[in-house]
Amino acid sequence: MDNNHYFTELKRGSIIIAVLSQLNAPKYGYELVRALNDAGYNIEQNTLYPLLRRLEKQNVLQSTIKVYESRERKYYSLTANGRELYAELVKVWSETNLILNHLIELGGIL
Amino acid sequence: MNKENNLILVEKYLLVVRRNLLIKDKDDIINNLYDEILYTLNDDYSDEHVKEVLETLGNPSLLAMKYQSTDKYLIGPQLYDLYLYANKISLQISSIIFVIFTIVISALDVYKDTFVLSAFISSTIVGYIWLFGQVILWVTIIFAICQKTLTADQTQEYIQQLAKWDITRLNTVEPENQIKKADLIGSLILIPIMFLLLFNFRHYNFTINNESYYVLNQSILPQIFILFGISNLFSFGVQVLLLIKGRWNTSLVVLDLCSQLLGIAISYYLIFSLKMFAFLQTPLLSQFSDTIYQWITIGTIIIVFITILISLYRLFTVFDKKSKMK
Repeated sequence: MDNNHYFTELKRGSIIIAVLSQLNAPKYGYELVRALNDAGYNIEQNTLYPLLRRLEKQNVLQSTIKVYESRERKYYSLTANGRELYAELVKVWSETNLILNHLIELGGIL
Repeated sequence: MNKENNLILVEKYLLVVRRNLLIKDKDDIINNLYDEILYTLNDDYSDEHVKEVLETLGNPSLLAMKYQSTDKYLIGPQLYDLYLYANKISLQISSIIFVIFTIVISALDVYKDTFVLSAFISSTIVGYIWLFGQVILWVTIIFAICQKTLTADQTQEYIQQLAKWDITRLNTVEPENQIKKADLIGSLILIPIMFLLLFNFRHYNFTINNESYYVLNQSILPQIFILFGISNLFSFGVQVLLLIKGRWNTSLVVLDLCSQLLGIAISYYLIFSLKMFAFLQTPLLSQFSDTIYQWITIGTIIIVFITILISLYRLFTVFDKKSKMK
């Protein structure tokens, strides 16, 4: 049985928190992918890019173009709205996590 | 082999990804993808390793498709590569038909009293622009209809076909600054043939109303061959150098531009100042000679303009590539 789509589904909701958590300082696309992958959160660039564009449109992120080693790079950082959203998401995530852990314990399956 | 040579395959791969990206920030995506590839290569630029890394990334068209969001497109990422290909093929076929058609029409009309050279040239140019627009319009309409009627299953099936990708398909992709060998070989064959033809027919003449006329102005034959010889020799040398180097760089672009401008300047000087074509002085053509010279001047200006534009484009791709490959 292929369970991959369950894992993808579960992960989907957490991607925004993972991405926002790494943008305290501006980062460019691949730098962000590396930071997430190094921390054990595997994500591909082609998954990240549409999300970054969407979050920028929604004023959660802002971007600036900087030239680094003669090549242009787009650096993303949190906007004030983004910081607020991040704080709220982390709060909801922590609460959900507590509730889920409690439910798993109560269930007694594992 | 140096790093740049080993990365040609990567460059071709990124070119295909870029061509299939229908969004803004193409440069940023390509730069980041390039970073990712370099990081994964981990300083091992051997052919095998480069191929392995690219095969892991998969079909570049499919990869580009994954970067797109779910926005609605007139021609979506699923069909875009095919759409570009269809446009290219349709334009090539219609151009060939148009050229044949134009040659036939001009051959039929040129002897008529109503034939006006300037009107013919302008109507040909307008006709080609119209044809160009029509081809793109109809290919776009057909693909837009296909896009609109594409079902989820068909899309899935198409994606599965794209996934069966073979890296050897990159061999047919030409990097932006690659010199086309077919053009060079064509020029290398054509230059001596033209020169030999000119030499063999230097005394060629024809008779009209019992009067004999030379094609070339016999009094300036030495000048013609010396000047054409210099121009062709220089041009031949440049073409050989281009064939050896294989890729454009700043010096080659400048050298090629110089050889072409020299050829144009010499031709113009011979035709206008030295009146190289004696047949333009025949009674039949002498009445049109002003118009012919006028059109040759306009043609020369257009050719110079196009030559400079092509060289500027080549320079741009050289600098663009340099900045990307740093």
